[in-house]
Amino acid sequence: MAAVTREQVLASHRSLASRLARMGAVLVPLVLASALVGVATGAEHIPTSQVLRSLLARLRGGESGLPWETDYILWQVRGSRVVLAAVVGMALSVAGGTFQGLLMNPLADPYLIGVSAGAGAGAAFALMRHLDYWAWGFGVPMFAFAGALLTVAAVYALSQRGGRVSVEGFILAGVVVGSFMWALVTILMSVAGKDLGTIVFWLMGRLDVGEWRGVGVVAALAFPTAAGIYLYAHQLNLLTLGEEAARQSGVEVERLKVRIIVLGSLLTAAAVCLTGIIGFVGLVIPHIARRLVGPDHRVLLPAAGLIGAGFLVLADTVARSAFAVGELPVGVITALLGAPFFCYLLRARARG
Amino acid sequence: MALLAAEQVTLSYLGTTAAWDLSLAVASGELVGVVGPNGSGKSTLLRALSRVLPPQGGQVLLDGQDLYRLHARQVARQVAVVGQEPPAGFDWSVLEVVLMGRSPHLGRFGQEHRRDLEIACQALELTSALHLAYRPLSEISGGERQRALVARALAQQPALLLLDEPTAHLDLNHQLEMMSLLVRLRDQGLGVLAVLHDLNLAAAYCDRVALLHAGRLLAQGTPAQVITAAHVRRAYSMEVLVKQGPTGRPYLTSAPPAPSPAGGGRWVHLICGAGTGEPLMRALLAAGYRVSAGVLNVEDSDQVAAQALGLERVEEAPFSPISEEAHARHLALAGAADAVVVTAVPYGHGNLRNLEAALAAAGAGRPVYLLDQPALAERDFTGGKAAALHQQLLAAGARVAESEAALLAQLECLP
Repeated sequence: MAAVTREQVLASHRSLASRLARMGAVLVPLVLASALVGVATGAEHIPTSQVLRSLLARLRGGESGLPWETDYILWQVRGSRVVLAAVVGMALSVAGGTFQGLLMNPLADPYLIGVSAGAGAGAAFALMRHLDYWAWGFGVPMFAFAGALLTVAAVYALSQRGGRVSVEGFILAGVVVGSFMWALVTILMSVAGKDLGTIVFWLMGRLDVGEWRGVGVVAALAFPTAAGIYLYAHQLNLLTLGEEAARQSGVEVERLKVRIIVLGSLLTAAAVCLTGIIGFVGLVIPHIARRLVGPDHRVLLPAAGLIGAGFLVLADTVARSAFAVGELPVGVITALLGAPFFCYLLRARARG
Repeated sequence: MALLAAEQVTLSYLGTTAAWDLSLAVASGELVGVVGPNGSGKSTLLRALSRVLPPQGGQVLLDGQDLYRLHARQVARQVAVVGQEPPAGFDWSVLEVVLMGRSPHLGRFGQEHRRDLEIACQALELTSALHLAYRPLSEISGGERQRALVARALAQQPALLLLDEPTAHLDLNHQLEMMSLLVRLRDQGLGVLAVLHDLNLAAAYCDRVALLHAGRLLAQGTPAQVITAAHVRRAYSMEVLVKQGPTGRPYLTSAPPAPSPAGGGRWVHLICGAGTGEPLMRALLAAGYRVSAGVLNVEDSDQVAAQALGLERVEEAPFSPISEEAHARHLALAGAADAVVVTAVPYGHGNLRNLEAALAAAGAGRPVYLLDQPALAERDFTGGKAAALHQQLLAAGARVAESEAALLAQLECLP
């Protein structure tokens, strides 16, 4: 084994800023490229040159010279949808990476703690009662968001003892409360009658719910929450070495856990409330990111966010262009891609 | 002054009280070992000292301030802990983990500077682990990982280092390496407190040892004061031999064989000295007798053996005649035994009183046995006084045993 000298360590060390810059330099262009593919692809293919021309015109505030339908498809139909996919993909991946750090388990999932079940129950209720147009058209997302947060609150209340939450207790309570909420969803579906279809589609996750308004709401919830989580990225690093070790390194562990649970649940709820439950992104993307940039959450979380954004944009592009007529729910595509990949990861771990 | 002190703490863990009224302090430049059987509360005490388990009663003071009122970061700048193995699953490199030790000194994002890297490298050099810097923590051996974790604690630049069984799962050579590392850190002025499984390691390296038993402090002091056969018997319910090592520190060796039923717990008092008693002490213990001895001059080879075996005994200062006070205690001890055995010890004026004690026991109706090989005439340096007492003993019913084997056979017939 090669000897390591102090000079070598000092010389080869990269600061956090430089690691972030390198990661961004690789991933940001990839996200932009996937967005370009996303807006160009669809029932009507729009050449990249036209997309770029339209974009430049918008930036300059001038006319693109393209037919107005092309501009409309680019900006109103596909543009909002691609940005929504990017924001949701980012939110799910960052939330996944966060919960994996918090639960000290790289196989954790943002839905593990009951968020998806709670959101599903809230959305199913709103859809059945036709509350779609309630609250300026945000009736369903509002109920989904509230259902998600109430469920996490119940999970937290069940798993805490005297202000302390054990990780195992939290996961267990999440699974139990989640099953309960799924039972409620099933009941709602059984009595939904002709609304069953809309509930099923919501649960499968879809991104054709766009309009910039909805994108704005989701982004306004997701970005501040993700930024809030990033403040705790270094403490999450310490937590992965064990709760006691983190405490002995100066982390107020109980406070950290509560804040991460609140922020992570908010971020997951923001991701699912408008688009429904898109699976596997939050589980698989942080893994890929960890392979690429290592376990340091200060780099891992932004990297996961970027990869997740690009991945969901591409998955959605496939979902809406795989068949000539109609489209697949994007959750189907992520599961189709995610499940085999996850099996591969599990087997690679077992071998490693 | 003590840097970290537990004062009469009572500790509960998972709803059960695990320790009562424990007081223990560590100062700078001191290596303290905490020993005791499994479940005696060692690790619980360490948790309380590392601000993880608030005591139910009493208090823990860091530099005179209540540990549990200080902020975690404040404490982490002074106290570093090497605990159990970290969970696997996250592929941290050794260097990354050691750098995390810097976190109590860094800002929110833990951005490390050149100086932090240098401190991390220094810590890795000190634990001979620099060559592991870029290896994943989960893929190195247990001994290497333990050294990496100590380096992480040292990168914290603490005044005090707490370790929970740092030698567990280590090979013998790594155990000794770890202990000499702790000694080096102690010499650099660090206060070190280590929970240790191995009494011999604790005895050989620690300045002070605290022995816990069933959640209470059984003894605390120098290794010689704490690691005695009597303490080990109480804490671990087993017989060991405690000898003195070449450095003057005690060490334990294997226990004598389990008592056979011959002795049945009957009590034999030995009057011996100059090494005439040691084989008999072992033989009697092995046969299941309770054994006491007297009066022995300190540093006499029989005294050393009796101490190592943890026997009840009456002692006198080195090379001094038996004092009135020691004689009185000897009479009481010998008189309480079921039988008294007088070995073929040489007699001078200093120890003549031992024969008087034997005579008193015989007079009180105790069976007394005399070992007379070599014959008394060859070892009587009292001008016949010993011979006279010998005659009186025989007259009082004392019996002569030809050999130790014969003696053991005779003792078996005791009522």
